[in-house]
Amino acid sequence: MNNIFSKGLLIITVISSFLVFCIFFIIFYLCVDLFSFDELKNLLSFTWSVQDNKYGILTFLFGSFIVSFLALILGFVFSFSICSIIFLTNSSLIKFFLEKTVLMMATIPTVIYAFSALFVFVPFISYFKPSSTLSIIVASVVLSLLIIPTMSLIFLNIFNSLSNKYMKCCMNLSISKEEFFFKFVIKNSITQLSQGVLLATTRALGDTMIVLMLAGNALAFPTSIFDSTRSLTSHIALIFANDFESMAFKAIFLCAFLLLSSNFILILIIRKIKGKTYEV
Amino acid sequence: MKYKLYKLILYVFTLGAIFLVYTLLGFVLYKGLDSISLELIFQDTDVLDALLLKQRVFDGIFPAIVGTLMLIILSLAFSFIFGFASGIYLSVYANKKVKEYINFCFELLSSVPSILIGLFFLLLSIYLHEEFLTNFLPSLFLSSLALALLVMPYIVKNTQYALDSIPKHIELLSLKLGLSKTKNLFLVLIPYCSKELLSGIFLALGRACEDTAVIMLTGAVASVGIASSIFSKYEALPFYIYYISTNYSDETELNQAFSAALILLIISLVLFLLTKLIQKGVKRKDGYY
Amino acid sequence: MVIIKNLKLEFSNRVIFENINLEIKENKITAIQGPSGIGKTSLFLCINSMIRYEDDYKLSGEILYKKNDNYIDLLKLEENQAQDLRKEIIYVSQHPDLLPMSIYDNLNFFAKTHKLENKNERISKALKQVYLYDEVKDILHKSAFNLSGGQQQRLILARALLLKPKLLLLDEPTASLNESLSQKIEEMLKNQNITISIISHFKSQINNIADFCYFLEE
Repeated sequence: MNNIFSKGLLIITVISSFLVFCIFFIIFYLCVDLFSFDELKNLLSFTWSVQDNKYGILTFLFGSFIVSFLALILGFVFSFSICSIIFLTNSSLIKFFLEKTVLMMATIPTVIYAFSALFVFVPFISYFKPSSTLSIIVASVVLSLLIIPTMSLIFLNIFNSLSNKYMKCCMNLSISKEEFFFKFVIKNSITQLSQGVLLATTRALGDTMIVLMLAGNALAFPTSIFDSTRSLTSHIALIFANDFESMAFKAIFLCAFLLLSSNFILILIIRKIKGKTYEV
Repeated sequence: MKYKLYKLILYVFTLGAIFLVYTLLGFVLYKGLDSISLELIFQDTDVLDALLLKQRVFDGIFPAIVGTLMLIILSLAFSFIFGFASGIYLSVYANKKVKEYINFCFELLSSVPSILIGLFFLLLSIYLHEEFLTNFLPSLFLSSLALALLVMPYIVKNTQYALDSIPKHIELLSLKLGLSKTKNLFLVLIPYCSKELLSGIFLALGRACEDTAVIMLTGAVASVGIASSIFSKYEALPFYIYYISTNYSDETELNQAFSAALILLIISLVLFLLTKLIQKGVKRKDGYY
Repeated sequence: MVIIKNLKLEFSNRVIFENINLEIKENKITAIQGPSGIGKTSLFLCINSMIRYEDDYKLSGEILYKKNDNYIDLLKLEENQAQDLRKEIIYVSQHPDLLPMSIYDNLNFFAKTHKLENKNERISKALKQVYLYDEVKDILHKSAFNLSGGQQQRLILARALLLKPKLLLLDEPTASLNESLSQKIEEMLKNQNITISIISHFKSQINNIADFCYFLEE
């Protein structure tokens, strides 16, 4: 009886966990016949134009990369600042407010960030630079807000755990909270800080709505952060929402494959880093 | 001292982030509250008639609300069984190596971009529709399956965590008295952490109701009324918001979108608060109920 | 150097100790004895003001500390003043609390943050004082957690001595050491020119080094 039950659970577990590989293999399979040299050359170019039979997705790869990169930098600065203040502040009111804000931010739907920013940030940007409206910079700023909770929860975890273990020892020897933080905590949480950043990268690369609604979806290669661009995710969304051309389809699968593989690689890196922590 | 300078810089950035977030949220609140009204939700249809599904609601966001609610309940139903079972197995029955590998798989699953999950199910439906099941089109059913896959890692993680944090002596208590592992599971362990499991459910619900990319590809449309069956297309709040943002013709439609955004925000926050409240009620001393 | 008057400590309305009156004389060694759990460690935590970080405590009475010919009440200090004083009043705990660094860095970290001069010399001197130098001189770069209990205990004593405190509060400093090592440490403590207060379970130790001794009882 026991055995049947646990075997049943095992089967369910194995099925559930291997679904992720199904996703990977289907997308890979659909891409595989793309790897003839001519088609590959077509795909690895910077121009996408259905009429001219050009299906270059490199612009979108770059778009994904640049929006995520800027969002990560900004998001890291924000997250680190918020978590540091939560740690350093003596006011329990500020601590409570910031902690609850971060937790709440984790539950806000991305489409609400994007929708609100459409009417708040975009006019703001076009006030300063009239020629641009939907642009990389708007998308990056809003995307950074999205990834703040992802990073902050990890940062807060490590700050608290280090503090619980070692702060009393340091205080006994007249080391202030600030000194403890800046001279000890930061150095000893580098691993977790990187983990947070990598996890946030998967989140940033995988987000669709913010880039779709805020980055403008232009096909041309962007030349400044005030230009509009398209990411791999928003490209997939737009193509599927609109047309069903066959070669366009194949290009989509390549986009999907690039996205999936980059996320998988990031997860592998995170795992490798995790394995290295012994003491802390 | 230089630490004062560092602290100041950190404060500035913190304030910046907080300011940005609350500006966005505040704007939704302000505009949404301004224009929320029964008319916005139900438009010309009588409220009671609409609620009892007697009359179809045109131009109001009621169908979208119903669509979202149906969606999250269905997706919960699908994901809960698989996620719960997997979580139990990993926590109670699995040995270390199996645990590691399967946890890794779920980690990979949680990193898959939501649009790719939608893409996967769309492809699945195209293929199966042609070969086997003519019913398997983009629909409420397909979307709930996709969402179920999306939130499954959360449920697995939460179940594992809940079962793992049962104090050792409770775990071993009934086993020592002769109960089998399975009976122990159902009679002791699960009731003990039922509250944590419940909070995990609300967490998953919250995650499911907010995702747009998945439902965009698997069956959400702009205007079709309440879904007549689970194999038909449907409306949902997040998709409605996106659709209006790209295709709005006048002020009223925009206001409707803001109200929809506000309602979606409220649903997410309520689910979140429920999670927190349940977790708070879980504080136990010395391992007793 | 420290005069304690009518000290009473409560945790969550449970009285730990009350009516404590004692004096720790300057440049002498004062021992504190008593049954287990009576609050000796808590008493020391009150003196170095670390009791503030416990939950739900209530402290009343006076702890007068002599600083520059003036007596100041330690209970009435602001947090940053109390933290400053912990450079002079150093508490060495029973259980070694080391940082996750190498043996050398465990001492160097504090030497650096307190901006001590001649760091290397002072670190070697501190290690020699606790008779640890010969044992660790070749493995200074290895993790401090690899040391045995007795070595760790000596390491935290060295750490305290490194900072040249005025008042040293030792909580069972030789509990993990064998007799000969204990005696050497005791001799070293006797020859220090600082005020020491020591909690110890070993009658022989107290007989050997203490100038004064207090008994705490129910």
